[in-house]
Amino acid sequence: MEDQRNHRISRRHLLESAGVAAGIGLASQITPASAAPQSTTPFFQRNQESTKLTFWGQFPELLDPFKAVMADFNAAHPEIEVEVEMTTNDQYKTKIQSALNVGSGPDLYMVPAQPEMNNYVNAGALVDVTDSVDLSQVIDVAKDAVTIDGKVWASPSGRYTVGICYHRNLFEEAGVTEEPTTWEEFRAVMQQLLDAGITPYSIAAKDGSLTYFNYIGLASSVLGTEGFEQVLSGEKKLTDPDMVAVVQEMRDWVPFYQQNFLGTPYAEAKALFATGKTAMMDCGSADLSGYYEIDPDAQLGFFYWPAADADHSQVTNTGMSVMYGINPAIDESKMNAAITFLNWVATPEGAQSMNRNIKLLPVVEGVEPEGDPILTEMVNSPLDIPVWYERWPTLNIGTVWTTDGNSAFDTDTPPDEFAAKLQASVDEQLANAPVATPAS
Amino acid sequence: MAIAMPQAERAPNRDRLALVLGIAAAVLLLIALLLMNRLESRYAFLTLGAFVLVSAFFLTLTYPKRPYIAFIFPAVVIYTMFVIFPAGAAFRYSLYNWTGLGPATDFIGAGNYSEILRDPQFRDALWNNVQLFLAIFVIQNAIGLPIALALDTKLRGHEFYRSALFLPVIVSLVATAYIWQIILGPNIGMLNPLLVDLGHPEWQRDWLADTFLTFKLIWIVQAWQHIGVPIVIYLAGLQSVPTDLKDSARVDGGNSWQVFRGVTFPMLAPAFTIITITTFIAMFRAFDIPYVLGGPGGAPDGTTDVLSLVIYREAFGLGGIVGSQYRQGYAVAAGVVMFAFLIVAVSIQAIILRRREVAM
Amino acid sequence: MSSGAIDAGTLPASVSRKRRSLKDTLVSITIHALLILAVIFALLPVVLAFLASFKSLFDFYDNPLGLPAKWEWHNYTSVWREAHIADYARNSVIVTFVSVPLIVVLSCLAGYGLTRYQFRFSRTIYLYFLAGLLIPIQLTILPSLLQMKALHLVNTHAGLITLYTALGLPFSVFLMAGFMNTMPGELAEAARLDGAGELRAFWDVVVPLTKPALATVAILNGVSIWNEFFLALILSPGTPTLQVGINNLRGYYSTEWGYIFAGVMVAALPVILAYVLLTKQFIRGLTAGALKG
Repeated sequence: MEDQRNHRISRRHLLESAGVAAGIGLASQITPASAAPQSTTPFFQRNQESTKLTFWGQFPELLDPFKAVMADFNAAHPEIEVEVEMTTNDQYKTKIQSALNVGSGPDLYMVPAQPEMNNYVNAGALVDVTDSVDLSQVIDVAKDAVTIDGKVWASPSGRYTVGICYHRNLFEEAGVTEEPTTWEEFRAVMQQLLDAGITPYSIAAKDGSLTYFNYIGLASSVLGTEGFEQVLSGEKKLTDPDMVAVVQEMRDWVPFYQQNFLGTPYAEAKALFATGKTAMMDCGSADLSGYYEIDPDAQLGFFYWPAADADHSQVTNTGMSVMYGINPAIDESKMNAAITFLNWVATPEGAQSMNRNIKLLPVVEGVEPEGDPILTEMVNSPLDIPVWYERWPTLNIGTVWTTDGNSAFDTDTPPDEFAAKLQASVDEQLANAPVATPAS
Repeated sequence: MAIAMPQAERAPNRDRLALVLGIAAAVLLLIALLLMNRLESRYAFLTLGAFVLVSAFFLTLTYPKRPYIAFIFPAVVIYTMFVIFPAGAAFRYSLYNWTGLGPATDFIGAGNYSEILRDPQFRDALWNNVQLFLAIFVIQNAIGLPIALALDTKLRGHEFYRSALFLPVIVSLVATAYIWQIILGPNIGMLNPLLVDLGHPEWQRDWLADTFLTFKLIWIVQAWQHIGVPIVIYLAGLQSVPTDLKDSARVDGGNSWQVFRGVTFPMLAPAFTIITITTFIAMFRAFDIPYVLGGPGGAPDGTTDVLSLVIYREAFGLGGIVGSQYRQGYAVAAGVVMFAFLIVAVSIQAIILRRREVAM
Repeated sequence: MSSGAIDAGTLPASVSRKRRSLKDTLVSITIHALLILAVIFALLPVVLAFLASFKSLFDFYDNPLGLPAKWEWHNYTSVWREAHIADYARNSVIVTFVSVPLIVVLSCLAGYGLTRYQFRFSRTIYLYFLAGLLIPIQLTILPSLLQMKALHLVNTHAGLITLYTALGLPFSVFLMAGFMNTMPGELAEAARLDGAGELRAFWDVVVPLTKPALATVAILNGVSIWNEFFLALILSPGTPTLQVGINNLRGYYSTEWGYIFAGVMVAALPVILAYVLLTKQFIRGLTAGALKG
């Protein structure tokens, strides 16, 4: 009986907001779960003033900063509270997908970037917010990142830019005065550090994470924007001599990596760098707050990926992070609150809060990164190329590094063998391109 | 009419009614399960209510003549509802090309299955499971059995030894993960500094990234966690061997080995059977330790891959910060193949080992 | 190694116990030495984790082996306070302490029904339960989640309890049936003939005799439910258990290993304690059931 009543009320609520109705309607055709949305909150709580939203994310290390963001939001909208729940990133997808599949889960969740986002859209696991969320102040690249087939599916809250972070004091100790700008200079700097008894570079190969970022950074410095587009279209091969040279270059750096880098997972590589055991590491803007938390006095510096040679440009890789989406299984009485939150994220106020707390680069026009000069430096990158997993053809490059990464450093095999594995994954993706390819 | 019926003739009627009620209960349960699977909560609850009611009548009727039905009933129902039915329901997914999100619509029949049979990662993983089982089988009989024999002599401290050796069995997956990271981990690991302290710095290795060694370490860690079980069961088996049997064999002039071979070991046959089969099942389902030491990708380079990891990886991707793909349909198909394999393999083992028990 | 142990396994039990020769002493010393080695291998990792829980981050790198430079008790207080360990512990306690009695009762009834009566399908039903031991858990997660959702049990203790109970049954029925096979059947028979009802006979005669097996089923399931991770993660994120909680510490404290191990110790302590206190019942029931199954 009670179910039925909820159902009827829900219909009325639905009609109140046309944009929302479109989303729910779409979802209900696809998942039986959302055909009969059921409330988990008792009926009597509906009329209370305050609405509680739940949010799931994949950065347990940023739990407190996210809580601070939600506190800022609550200050602006006292009638809405957002509860944060974090899961380690290797289990996040297991958890969110299972929940979305049966129409349970949180009200708001962190949506992966395209092309993975397509799966979520196709599955009806996101509410269409085209008509209800105002992205007019958001920069174009971020708008594109949440738009599929002309519809908006999430609210972008920040970007991260990947380059190389270093400890200024360790550079000084080794007598390094200039930030390197080319591969050759970079190698010289690492040699200088090594001679001074400092481990130059922290890297993680166990889960393929940082070797992968190293690869796309160096490869991007060879390719440039045009070259990258050619890789995506299949005109340029990762097995070309200049691309094989990237794998070789990484091999040449092996003496500069920390001992046992092959067995080092991401978190440990980070810990080594954070505690000053190594001088440099791949580094994105979102990593900074973690480093300062471990060592508040850390003297961090940042430079772009060095250029292959003087004819090329230095480069950074940028990806979208923390896109807030709405779960179609949300209780309708909370829908307005969720929409309010997504709108707030896309305002200067929300963007500033995300930037201040999470150290992501803002994606709202006119909002400058504050607090850390490194963030400004990141924004001013001479050449910025997307992280490769945000493009369909190169989606699985990371998988190759994760499952086959040791062979990249195996000196018994020529480097072009590994390059061939990378290209094979691109070829496979190109052969299996989805019907609706995201704008790239 | 019914009142006039003599007592003796009512019994068959009663049986027939019980049978009807039993079938009705089973049908109602099935309907309730199907409704649940389609998320039709209200009807599922109603049907479940009807099921409980009919079952109550059914049990009341059968109890006087067949009380065992009432004893078994609750366990069978709960087990069927929440273990067997979900496994059956999952089978449907294996017939679809399905990422794991949203509805499964792309029906491909046996497509996933034929792909599995050709999939080298599945074959390699299966071979790793075989190796893992053989390794543990050898370790538990070459080390576990002698330990059990030693403990059976009730030597001083035998209870302490037994308890200590069993302790790793009760350590959780999450704790195991952390514990072995601080031993084998390349940066915070304690094994490498220990080797330096022992004067053998050249023995240091990148333990978790060695295409040869890492999988062998998985054997050892698996043995660490598992060996308490065979020790304890062998011990119980030994305690059921009557002492006078051994004594009389020795008086007959047998040496220790002959006594062991001729008297003790045959008596251990039931223990050997149960240990071999449970180890087989455990090692073919092994997930925790390979996941902890090798990660979902079976690092390094797939050398630590096992069946459960393949299933997990296909279902939920590699996790982590770089993107990856997932195919729930394929994963479920792999799970079904693994289940079928286990059923056949375990049945064959059980038959062979039981026959051997009798022969000895 | 093996022949030495076998010598020991048979010799001292025999006549030679009286006149201990030098050889016997040597053999006994060797055996003890080997056993101690095995015990060190079994316990050292746990001890290291215990020590690690008192170390500071820098201690970790500078002094990986050996005792903490300074015993950081505040690792424990911090982790308890900041990381909601108390909430996780409460969830674990509720889930474990409700599921276990349910499993014990259900499996005891089923074990009795399957072994003390002769009927056509008893073997089949017994095998039906055993099949549950072979089902890969990854297979059933999604359909289980659907069921939980339909029953409104997602994110509730009741949901986890239901699943843990069902999943605990195959092995528990196996153990109970095995144990009951070893019991003399005449007692229950006699009680029944005396006119006691089936349930009375079961309750007054069978249950007291089955206590060791009941204890084993309880402890074994208690440990595995307390330690369970994946189902708790996926099926009940709203009521995170200790295992889910300490798994999240890795992200939360990314590098503060001392805190992480303090959390691990807090989660492991109840299980270790229960095991130490109840080790006899635990092992006795396990072996009796396993061998006669």
